[in-house]
Amino acid sequence: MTERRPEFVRFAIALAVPLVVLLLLIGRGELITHSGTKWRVRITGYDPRDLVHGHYLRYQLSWLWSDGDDEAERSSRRSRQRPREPDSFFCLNHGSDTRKPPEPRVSLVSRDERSGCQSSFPVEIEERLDRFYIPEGKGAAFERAVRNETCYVVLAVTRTGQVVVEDLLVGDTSWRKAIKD
Amino acid sequence: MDLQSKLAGWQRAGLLSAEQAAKIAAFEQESQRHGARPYAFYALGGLGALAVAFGLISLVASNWQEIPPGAKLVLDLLVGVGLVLGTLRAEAAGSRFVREILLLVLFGFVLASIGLVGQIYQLGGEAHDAMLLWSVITFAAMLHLRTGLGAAVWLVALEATWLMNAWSVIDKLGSSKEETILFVALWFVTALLLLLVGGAGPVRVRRPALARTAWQLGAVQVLGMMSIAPQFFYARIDDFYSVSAIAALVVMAVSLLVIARVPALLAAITGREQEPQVVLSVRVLLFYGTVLNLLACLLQHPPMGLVAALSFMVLWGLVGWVAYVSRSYPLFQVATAVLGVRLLGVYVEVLGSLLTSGLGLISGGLLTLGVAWYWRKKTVQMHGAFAAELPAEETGHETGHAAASPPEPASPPSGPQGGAP
Repeated sequence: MTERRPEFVRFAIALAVPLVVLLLLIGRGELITHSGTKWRVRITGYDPRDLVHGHYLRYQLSWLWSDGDDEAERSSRRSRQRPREPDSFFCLNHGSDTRKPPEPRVSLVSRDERSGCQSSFPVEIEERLDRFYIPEGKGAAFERAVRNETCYVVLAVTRTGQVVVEDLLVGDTSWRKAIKD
Repeated sequence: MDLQSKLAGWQRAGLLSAEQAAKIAAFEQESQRHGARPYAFYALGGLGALAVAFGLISLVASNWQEIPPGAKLVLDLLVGVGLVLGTLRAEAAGSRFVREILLLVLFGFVLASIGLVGQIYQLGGEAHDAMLLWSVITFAAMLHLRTGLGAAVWLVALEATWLMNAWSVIDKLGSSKEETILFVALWFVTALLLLLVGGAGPVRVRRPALARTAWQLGAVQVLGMMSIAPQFFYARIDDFYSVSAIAALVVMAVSLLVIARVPALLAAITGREQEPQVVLSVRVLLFYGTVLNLLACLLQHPPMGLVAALSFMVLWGLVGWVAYVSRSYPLFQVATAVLGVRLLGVYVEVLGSLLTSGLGLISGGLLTLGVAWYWRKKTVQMHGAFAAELPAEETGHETGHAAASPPEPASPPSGPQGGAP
C-alpha cells in the first residue's frame, strides 16, 4: 500500500479535478448573478418556425439604441442590422426607465470609451445570450408568451464585462410566476 | 465437443497418453479458474453504467422545475463527491469492476453537471463548448480506466469532442464542399493518429487496454473510410478546390508517417517482430487506401462505376492478403465475405436486359464460386501452416515424429498449390 500511495494520491487528485472545476463554474455563476448590475432587454422571436428548439427558447435581443428616441425608431433599427465591429463593446446606460431592473440605452463603443458606461461587455458575448433554458413541457407556453406578450431577459453584467442571463420576464413578472402550464 | 470428449478421442487415436490427457485437463481447469473473465458480467455492468450516466444527463436536460436551482446544485455536488469517494474506495479495495463502473458513471455525471450549471446560470454556448470542457477536466481521471469497454467509451467521446470542435471552426469557411473535404480529411488523419497512439510504446506499457482499443478504433475507422472512398467514383467531381491540395498533403504526410512506423506498430500491437511480408502487406494496404481516398474524393473525374467496383475489390483483396500473411483467420473470413457481397453488388449494377442479366449472373455466380473455393483452400492452408509452426513441445510430438510427418509450409504459400479443400 505504501508503494502504491503516490499513485493513489494522483488518482484522487485526477478524480477531484472535475468537481473543483464544477465548483468554480458555480462560484462564477453566483458571483456574476449577485454582483452584476441587472438590466432588462426586450426579446423577440427571430424565427417563429423554430422558436423553441429542444429545451431552450431561442430569441433575438432587441436593444434600445441610445440614438433611437422612441419605440417606433427602435423597431426600425433591429439589433442584428447594426454591424458589430470586432473588439467593440456594448455600452449600457440608464435612460428614463424607472422599472426594476431598468431597460438600458445601448451604444457600441471602442475599448477606450468604456469608462463612460455603467455596464459594458464585448460584442462577442451577445452570441451566447440568445437562448433561455426552459423546463420540459413548457415550450408551447413560452412560445405563446413571446409571441403575444412583451418579454424581456434580465442580464447581470459584472464590472469586468461578464454576463449571465438571470431571468426571463413576461411583462414585469418572472416566468416562474407568469407561465403556469 | 467439450475438452473431455476431445481428450478421450485423442487418447483412443493414440495421440495422447492417459497421463498427458490428465495434465491437459488439469491445466485447462486451472486456466479457466484464473484466467477466465466474466465478459457477460463486464458487458452488463458497462451497459448499466452507461444507462446511469445517460439517465443523469436526461434528468438534467428535462430541467425539472419542482426542485429549486440551489438544491439541484447541492444535490449534484453531493452525488459527485459520493462517486469520487466510491471510486477511491473501490481502488483501495482492489475491486477493478466497481472502480471501472464508477469511473464511467463519473464521466457521464460530469457532462450532466456542466449542462446543469449551464442551465441554472443560463450560460448559453454550444454543445461542442461543453464537450470540450468535459473532455479537458476529465482527461486525467479517465486515463485511469483499465478495461477495453471503458477505454472505448472514453476514446469515442474524445474523438467526437475533437471532431465537433474542429467542425465548429471549419464550418465558418462558407463553402459546404470545402468544409466537407477538410472535415473528412481531418477525420481520416484522426483515425490514422489513433493507430499511432495504439502502437506507442509508453501507452502500451502503462495503459494496455487503452492502447489496444485505440488501434482497434483507428483501424476500423481507417478501413471504413477507405471502403467508402471508392463510392465517390460513381459521382462526377467537377471542381478542384484549393483546400483539396492542403487536405491531400496533410493526409499523405500522416499516412506516410504511419507507413514508416508499421514495423514498430505491429511489433507493439502483437508483442513480437513481424515477418517482412506482413509489414509489406500492411504498408501496401495503407498506401493504396490513402491514394484511393485522395483520388476518389479530391480529383476531378467523371462517373466511373467500373473503377469504383474494382478499386473497392482490390482494397479488400489487400485486406485479405494482410489477413493471410498474418494468419488472422477471422479477418480473412471477413475480407472474403466483403468481396463476395461486393460481387453480388456488381450483378445488380449490370442488370439490364434479360440477356445481360443472365450473362452477368452466370459469370458473377461462377466468379463467386471460384472465390469461395479459393477461400476454402486458403483457410485449410492457414490452419495447416499455423499448426506446423507450433513448437514440438506444444504439439506433444517427438521431434523425430514431427520430422516424419508430411512437410507443411513454414510460411503461407503464395500459390493455390499448397492445399486442397
